[in-house]
Amino acid sequence: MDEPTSRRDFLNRALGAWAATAAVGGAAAAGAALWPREEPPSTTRIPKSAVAGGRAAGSLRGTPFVLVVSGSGAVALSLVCTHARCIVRWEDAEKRFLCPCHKGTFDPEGRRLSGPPPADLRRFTVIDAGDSWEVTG
Amino acid sequence: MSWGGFLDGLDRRTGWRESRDRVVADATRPQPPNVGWGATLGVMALTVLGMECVSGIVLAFHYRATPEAAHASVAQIRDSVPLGWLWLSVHAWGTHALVGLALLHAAKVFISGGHKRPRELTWVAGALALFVVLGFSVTGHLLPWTNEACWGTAVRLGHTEEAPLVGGLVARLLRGGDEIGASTLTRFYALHVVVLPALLALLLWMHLRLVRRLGLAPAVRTDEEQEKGHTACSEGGAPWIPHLALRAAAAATVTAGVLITVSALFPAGPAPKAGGATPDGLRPEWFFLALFQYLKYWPGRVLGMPGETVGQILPILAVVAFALLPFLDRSPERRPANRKRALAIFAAGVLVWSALTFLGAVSDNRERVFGREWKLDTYGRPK
Repeated sequence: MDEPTSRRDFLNRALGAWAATAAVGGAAAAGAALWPREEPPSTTRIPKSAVAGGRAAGSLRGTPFVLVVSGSGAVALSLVCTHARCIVRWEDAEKRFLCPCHKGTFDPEGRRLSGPPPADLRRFTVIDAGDSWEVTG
Repeated sequence: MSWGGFLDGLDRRTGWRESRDRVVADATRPQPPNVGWGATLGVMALTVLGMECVSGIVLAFHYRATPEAAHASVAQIRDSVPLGWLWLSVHAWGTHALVGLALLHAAKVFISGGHKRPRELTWVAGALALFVVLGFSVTGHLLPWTNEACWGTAVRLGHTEEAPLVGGLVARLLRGGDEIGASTLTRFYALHVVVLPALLALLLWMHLRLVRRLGLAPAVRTDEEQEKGHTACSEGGAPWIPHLALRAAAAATVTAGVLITVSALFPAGPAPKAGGATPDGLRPEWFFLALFQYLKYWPGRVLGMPGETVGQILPILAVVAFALLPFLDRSPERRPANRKRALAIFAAGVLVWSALTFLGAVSDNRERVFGREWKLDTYGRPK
């Protein structure tokens, strides 16, 4: 470019740069506003007296879970199916969890048995807090 | 000041006569002689869309987009707004009519080669408009906040989550958090009444502007002489105004009549409010049944990846191919008789889609056929 930049060319480029900056900045600001806020982990307590037959139901931030208490301790399994997020239910006759939406199944420990779920049921952290179980997730 | 003087003054300030003359010139240009009633499918879809807009505005004036109030506000529309039940029903049935007519319109255009040069972008804009219409259906489905809609949306967002690369991000953005809730409802409402209408208006403006500019497709090869000048290719054809417009008006009237009649005879009834258990036998609208059934056949894990994610690659490619069809199907032939391969692929696609739709509808169900009861498992096999 030997030719000196004309005043008009310079102004056109400046205008283009201004428009691009405004568009990117606006899009970034809008994107940040649309991004959902992270929710902090929350904790819920299940009184040990509420555990019947080694099981108790609870819910954490709207996610239902089942607390399974055995001799070795307790695990809290999220009942949200890892495939399409339906709520699985315990089938006592078959000793498994069944998802009503696409018939995925999980064993009593939440490990995937059959169907489309790609992963085991999520486990929440359980702490023995004396007269209750403290579930965090 | 006289009326004529008013119009003259308006013309000096806006130049409206010039714009009108351009539209009239395009509308009175003869269209190709091969244009038949099939060309009114697009008009029918547009009619239903107009009815969706009007009924949607009526509903939006009464609807309240919060989990506490949404279900009750829909019940209020149904029970106490004058003809509210009919507006609601027209809006709900309109989705099915709109998707159905848009698909038929696309099929007809494909069979008669209307997507070919120079009308590729008309097709692309139309295909994108169809995707926006499906977006309307998905977002609108949640708004009445029924139990079935909430779980249906949970499943859809669960599938979105598994989509390759951007799935997690898109699902989180749509859901507005970890769980379906107030944020999801407001986000879906904002999409349904602000974002999608603006997108659809833009796409349909492009679509219709191109139809106006290029006219309807003649039944000739794209490299034949006649394509170049409109007058030569259009010999013996009728213009939009008044001939084709009259036909369009008839098609629009019948469409509106059928939609209102069906809506009145089979009104959209009340459904239980969200908050219950995941219902059994949850399934999507008929136009998503094929996808729903197809995804079931994928196991949990494939090659160390979630099977669902791998399974989605094929439908995503199909959707992209559909939108870019004119750039894949590039032969200059328009006459169906000379496009046997393209039409065979199309027929195979329709067959697979119909079979999956059928399996999706009957799977996990009991069906009585000729007095014998069949129990079908989730894959559609008799038990």
